[in-house]
Amino acid sequence: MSETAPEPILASWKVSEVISRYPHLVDELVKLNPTFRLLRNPVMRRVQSRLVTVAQAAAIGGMEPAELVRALNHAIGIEVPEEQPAGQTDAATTEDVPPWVGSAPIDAEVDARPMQREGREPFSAIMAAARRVAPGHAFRLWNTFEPVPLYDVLGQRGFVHYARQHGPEDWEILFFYAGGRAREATTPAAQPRPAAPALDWESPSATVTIDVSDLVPPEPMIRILEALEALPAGGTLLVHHVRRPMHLYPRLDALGYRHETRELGPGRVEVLIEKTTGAEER
Amino acid sequence: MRPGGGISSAHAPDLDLPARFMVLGMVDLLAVAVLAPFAVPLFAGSFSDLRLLAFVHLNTLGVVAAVILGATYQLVPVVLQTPLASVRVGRLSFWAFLVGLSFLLPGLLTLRHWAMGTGATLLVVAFLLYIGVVGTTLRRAQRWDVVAWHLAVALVGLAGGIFAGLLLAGSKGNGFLGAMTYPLLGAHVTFLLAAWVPVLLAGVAYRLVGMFTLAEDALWRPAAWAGLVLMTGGAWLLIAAFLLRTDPVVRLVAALAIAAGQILFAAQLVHLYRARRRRGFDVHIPFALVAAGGGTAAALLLVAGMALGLRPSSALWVAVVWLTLGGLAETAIQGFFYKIATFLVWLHRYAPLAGRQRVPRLEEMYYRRLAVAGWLLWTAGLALSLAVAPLGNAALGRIAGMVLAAGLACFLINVGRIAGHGLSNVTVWFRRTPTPRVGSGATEDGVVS
Repeated sequence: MSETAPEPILASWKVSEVISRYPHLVDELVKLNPTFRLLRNPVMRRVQSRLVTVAQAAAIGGMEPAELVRALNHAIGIEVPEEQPAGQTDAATTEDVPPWVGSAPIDAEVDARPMQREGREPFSAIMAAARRVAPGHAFRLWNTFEPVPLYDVLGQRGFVHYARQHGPEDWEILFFYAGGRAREATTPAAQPRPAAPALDWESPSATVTIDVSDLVPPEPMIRILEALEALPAGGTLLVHHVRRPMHLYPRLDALGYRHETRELGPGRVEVLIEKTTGAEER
Repeated sequence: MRPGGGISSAHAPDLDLPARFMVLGMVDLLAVAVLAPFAVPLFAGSFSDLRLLAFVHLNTLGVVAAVILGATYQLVPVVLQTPLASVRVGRLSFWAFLVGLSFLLPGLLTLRHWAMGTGATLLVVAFLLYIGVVGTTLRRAQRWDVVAWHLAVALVGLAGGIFAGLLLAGSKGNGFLGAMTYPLLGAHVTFLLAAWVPVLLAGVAYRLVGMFTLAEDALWRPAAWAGLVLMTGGAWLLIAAFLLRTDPVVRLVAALAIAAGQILFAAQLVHLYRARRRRGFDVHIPFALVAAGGGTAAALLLVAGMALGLRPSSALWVAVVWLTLGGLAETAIQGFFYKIATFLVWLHRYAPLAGRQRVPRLEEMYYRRLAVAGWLLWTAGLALSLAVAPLGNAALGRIAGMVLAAGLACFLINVGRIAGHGLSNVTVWFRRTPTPRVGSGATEDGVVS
């Protein structure tokens, strides 16, 4: 049986990719920095590691990306020279305060610090807050570290950010929503990635429509998830509802479905869900 | 809440916090069921009977307070969309509550002052921790609506009630309250049974009933505000009237305000159920309606007692207290448990499976016929028990207690069945692993390097 040489880990790799190729590196990561202990939790590992690159993980752990890349490669038997650049983090803190800071109304505030200290995942709360933000408004996040991966996630939803550190475990991050999908970032370092195209509300061809307006919780969730399960990859599901299905959103996010909601008036909400190709494998 | 805005449980604390209070509440409800055939006959005697006093506190603290504390730790962050100020302090409040209750109830039964004092002190600590956590969470909330105001005002009522209770417990030993004992007892009971429990239940019901019947937009907000002002204003006026020993007319006016508030609450519930989008029968509805009826009947009896100028020893007050405790609070607890606890168990146990495999509906997670039978028996037991005091008939009390116990048994069997669905998650609820600190430069000990 021939043994293939290990592939060197790059700063741009997702942590999930690192772990999937080299499972023993979970322990190595924890040894390198206790911050990464969350990766021992299978649920956290599944959710978090998909969102974070090695460079971003280094920034979260307060390490130099090159240092982390070097240590990980060392653990799989590859030596990276000290001077080799290993990638840059998206340092998002800015000295220049964008004009919307202080003037944009704050629609929501999430204090993720207690959740993190208790080992809970604040992602759902943050995304729920983001959904409540009206165009031209902002929401405030309090965090124990600079949430670098979140910048990309929210950037794809049309948010720009401004971060400031008040203390060792005390970060305040403002996310401004201008109403579009992708927005110009406040600083070159905080440029969001190109936005995913918005879902096409008008497309009649692939859309399956269901009405759950008369169903009481949790039957709407059951009906919607059953309909999605039966839907072919790439298909879309239009749901008529009486309210935003707040308990459904985290499930859709976890399963990798894209979704948008629009409010048509009191007691009338439409949710458009796209079954992406990867979603059915989750 | 804006149109179309659902409420998310993203801010809810870990389920172990409400769950431990709920488990305690259900264990105490089991004790109530076992003791009811022996305790209800005591309604025919003196209300200062130590056994009756212990039974009443088993209901107020062991069942009603335990369930309310657990439920509000879960609901307040959801209703306010604000994380709980401190889950750790919440957990601490549970242990103070549990130990305090374990001292107070035997202390009351055996008149051991040291046990009563220790228990009351620990319970006060527990309630103060609870008030601190929920009060801070309320203060951080960005959007206040009529439900949030109900919660806040009820919290103030609770604070008054525990302060009065502490003074009464202290006075049991040396009698320092003297002639103020009865006025303060009246204030203590009014704080808890008029300014706290009904106000809190009304606020919670407005949100939960609207949510589960898809009738959120149908809430009569002016009526909800008016009900809050009347219930709270009446309760505080009555407390002031007790403490200041004012003219009986003031007490009558206060009782009328409380009754008007309760009638508005009952009317609001009926309106919400009539406006519900799904017309089918749900077992929580009869429980909720009986609860609203019990609260209204208690308030009307209060008016009657005040109008007739009845003495503190009158049997009517036993009926008022029991209607509020059993008729309003414990009936509402059973009804909302079928909805809320079942939904939470479903959410944790079956939501991840929904769409992939068949998952049960809420009604399939308990025995529906048993739930209806439980409601019938409980309601019949309440009606019978109300007749015990005025008739002075202990034998009737024994029968009433047995019927109440049968009703509770039906409910508790269903509680066990619902819990069984979530059993695989119970270990997760109660498992607390050391939490890693996530943050820039945090070390193993949480010290920033």
